[in-house]
Amino acid sequence: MEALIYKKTEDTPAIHLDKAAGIFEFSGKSLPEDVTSFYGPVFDWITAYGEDANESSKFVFKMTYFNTASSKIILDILMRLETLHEDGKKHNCRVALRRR
Amino acid sequence: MEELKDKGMNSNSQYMRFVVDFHNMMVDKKITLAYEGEVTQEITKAFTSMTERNLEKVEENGKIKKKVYHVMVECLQNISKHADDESETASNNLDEGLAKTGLFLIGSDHNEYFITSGNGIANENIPALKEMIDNINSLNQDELKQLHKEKMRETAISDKGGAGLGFIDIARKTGNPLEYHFEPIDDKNSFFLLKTSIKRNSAE
Repeated sequence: MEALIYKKTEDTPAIHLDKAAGIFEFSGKSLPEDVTSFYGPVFDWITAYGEDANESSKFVFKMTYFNTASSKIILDILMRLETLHEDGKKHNCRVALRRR
Repeated sequence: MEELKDKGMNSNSQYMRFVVDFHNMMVDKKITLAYEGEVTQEITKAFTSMTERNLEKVEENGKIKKKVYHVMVECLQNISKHADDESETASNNLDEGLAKTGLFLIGSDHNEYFITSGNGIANENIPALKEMIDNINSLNQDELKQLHKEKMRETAISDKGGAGLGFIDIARKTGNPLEYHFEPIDDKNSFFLLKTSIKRNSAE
């Protein structure tokens, strides 16, 4: 499956979701005007990943700042990852949150 | 002709006088940034990074810096998302980028940073906003945390891209009540002012 890679900008985080390399990482600032459209591809990617996930994956969030709208979206992402973890008897999904 | 020239001179010096007064007022009230105009995502980015640099220059405590940054973003995005602005240049369209007229001030003295934002509001929307802020102001920090949790669970991102958490977040970050004022403009519209302050010695 294709990796989802975004470079960080002044108001959006760097995103690196790469099944082959086993890298799942979000870092930087998140205060986009339109969180739904910015994070849409992330949700699509996670759904696709759930179909054929690695045996274990560690999602890392190294966010230096996120606004309230992003906090809501990040919670939704975490909940999706939780479902992925619970659904897939075969794959183990861990989440690491790092606060700067 | 002479008369016109005199008039020009006169209004010019009046204007200069106004600028001097305006400058003195800003210095007196310790306002470091005053803006009136269109509030967009570009403006939000510009003001926040400018303030970030300024706070780094004065070597402000990291936690205070973060609080100021948080409150600024929420205040500015509140304007671009929620201001009632019927003017031709206003935009409510997320795809094209939001744009609303607003007021933004930031200043500081030895004790605190103060951030003031202002924007138009339709009079019919005042009661709901007032009730929301009064409710937040009546809660202690634990209750605010609880309300924040509830809203996080229950609310979805709105069509304006908001989570409905901005005021709660500001109250939690500042630890102070939200000060506000509605200045009537006409029978349909008012100007909404919100003042928040962040204590400089409360690095907690």
